Amino acid sequence: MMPRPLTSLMNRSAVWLLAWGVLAASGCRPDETATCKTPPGTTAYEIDIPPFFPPMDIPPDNPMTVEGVELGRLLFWETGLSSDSTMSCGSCHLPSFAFADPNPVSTGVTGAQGTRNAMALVNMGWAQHFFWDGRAATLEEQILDPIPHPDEMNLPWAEAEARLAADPEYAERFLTAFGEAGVSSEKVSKAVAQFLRTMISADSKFDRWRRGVTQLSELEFQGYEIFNREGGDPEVVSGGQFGGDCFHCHGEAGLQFSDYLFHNNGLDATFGADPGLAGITGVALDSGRFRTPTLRNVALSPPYMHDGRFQTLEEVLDHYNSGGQPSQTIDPFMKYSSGGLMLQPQQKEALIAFLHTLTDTAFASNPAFADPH
Amino acid sequence: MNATSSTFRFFFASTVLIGIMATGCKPEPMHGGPGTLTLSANFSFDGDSVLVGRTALDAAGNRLRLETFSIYLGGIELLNDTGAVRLSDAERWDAGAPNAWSYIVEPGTYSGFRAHLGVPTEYNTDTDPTIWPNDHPLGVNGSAGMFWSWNTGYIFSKFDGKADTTGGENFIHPYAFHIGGDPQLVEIKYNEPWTVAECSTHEFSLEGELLDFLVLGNDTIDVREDNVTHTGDNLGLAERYVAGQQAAVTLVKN
Repeated sequence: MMPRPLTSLMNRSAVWLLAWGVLAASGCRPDETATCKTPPGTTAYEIDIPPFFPPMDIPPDNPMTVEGVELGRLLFWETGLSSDSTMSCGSCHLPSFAFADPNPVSTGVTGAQGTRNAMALVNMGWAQHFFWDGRAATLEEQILDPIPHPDEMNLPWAEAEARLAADPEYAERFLTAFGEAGVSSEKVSKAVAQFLRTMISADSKFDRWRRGVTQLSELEFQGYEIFNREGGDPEVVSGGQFGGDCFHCHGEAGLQFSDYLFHNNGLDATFGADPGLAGITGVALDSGRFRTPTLRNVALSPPYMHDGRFQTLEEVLDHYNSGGQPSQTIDPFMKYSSGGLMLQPQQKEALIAFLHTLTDTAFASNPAFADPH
Repeated sequence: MNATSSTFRFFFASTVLIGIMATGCKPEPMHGGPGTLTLSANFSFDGDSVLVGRTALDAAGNRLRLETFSIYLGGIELLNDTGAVRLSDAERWDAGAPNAWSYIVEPGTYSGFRAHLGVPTEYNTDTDPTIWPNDHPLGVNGSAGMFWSWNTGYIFSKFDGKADTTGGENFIHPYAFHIGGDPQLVEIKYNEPWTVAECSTHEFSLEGELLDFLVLGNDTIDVREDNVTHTGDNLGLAERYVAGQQAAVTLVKN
């Protein structure tokens, strides 16, 4: 090797020292810089946060990329991820039903039925506590569950990974999306989570009203006010305002119409069939408590409640009007001891009219979310 | 390019690097430094820790089962001759999750220290949780279950559950004290002068017994009759509760 001139070495040293200095200055927290960047060769996917929405928290170890979202969409609709290659995630999360299942409970590839209604997939990037019982803490964790579940897609992860790895197009897409070869359940969940985070519903009549570009009808606005008023007859219920009392759990803050917390809304007096959150925590006081679903697109996504027992919004309101079933864990806001909400037929009509303003048909028919296969 | 200019560039780069390293990753000052103040909240329920599901007999003879207790501690401020130095806009304390918060404080003499039970007025109304990072105590996720979306802003404190009004164990009678609205913001003050020396540590704690919130002098809130307030809908009960709460909570320097 020819000896290099000193000037060349100095130049190179200076460049390296400068580069190292910049790294040192910016690298005090190497864990963050290592995980928040998109993989090499990918294109960052910029989420357009709708007006009045909060920021969306993206996990640092799963940054949004165009390639990841595309892969996630393919995987969401991939029937090869079920044991008999007949079901995809989209089989139980149908677009025309706001990505929910119109059946009370879903039927898996083996013919086995689940025990709970498939929740609508709407604005999942803002959701907290996943599944009706909150057993998944993150969206990525939630996605790991249905594919190997024997009552759902019934495909062990090892086999799912092998199928995807054997497909040259998927192998290439995983390489592109994650900057490294190989297929894993973790990468599948990350890609699908990226796709789900793009599924934003923010163009309902309510949203347009919030933005000042349309008006609610008199009936819809009356329903909005009922939504935000205390329930009950003030002669019977302390502080009652003849309202719907919806806001306590389906509050408007953050515009998702869910507090993402767990409540027992008085569906049952005993909980042998489904203990809800208690099945996860083992705490008796959590019996019958289920996570509050969003009301976005609620008119598109019957049936209702964790077991899909109500087919219509009218039945739902009748339940709350009844006060619900008393139990040791019923939520303090339920009017079980005072005759229910006592909404009159016209008030129920108004409340339902308001709930329909949360429908975003453009979301349900958005071609960007449709089956790409 | 000649050797002289390269040598100059080398030394220039080295100087820049040393400068970056010196200022970038060593925040510790060379001499002394600020003090640290730690604020904790030691609420109790019948003398024990505040846990969901715990039961206790109240002054009116009802057995209360606690299902929710959450409270905002807002406007946490040092007091001095020129006014107040804000350490935190708001923190949130929940049953089953005792918490303490540490703040950097400048050395000096202070005339007092205070916190409020509730959210400071400037952030309570006419604002929205979306202006904060999601996990901030006042943000969308941080305020889960503690924000009224229509007119009165944040729920300052929430104490609810069910009672057996016969004093037994049949918990079917609901009670809910949900307090909010600017007039219900309560100041809790440590009103003694104190000094922060360089690098010193100071500990304060809020102390309060939840059952005492329901009693103020001869006025006892009996959940058999007075069991639900969301403030605006039953202001009289909310004001009685807030008065009891204010009398029951103290801020002490440990």
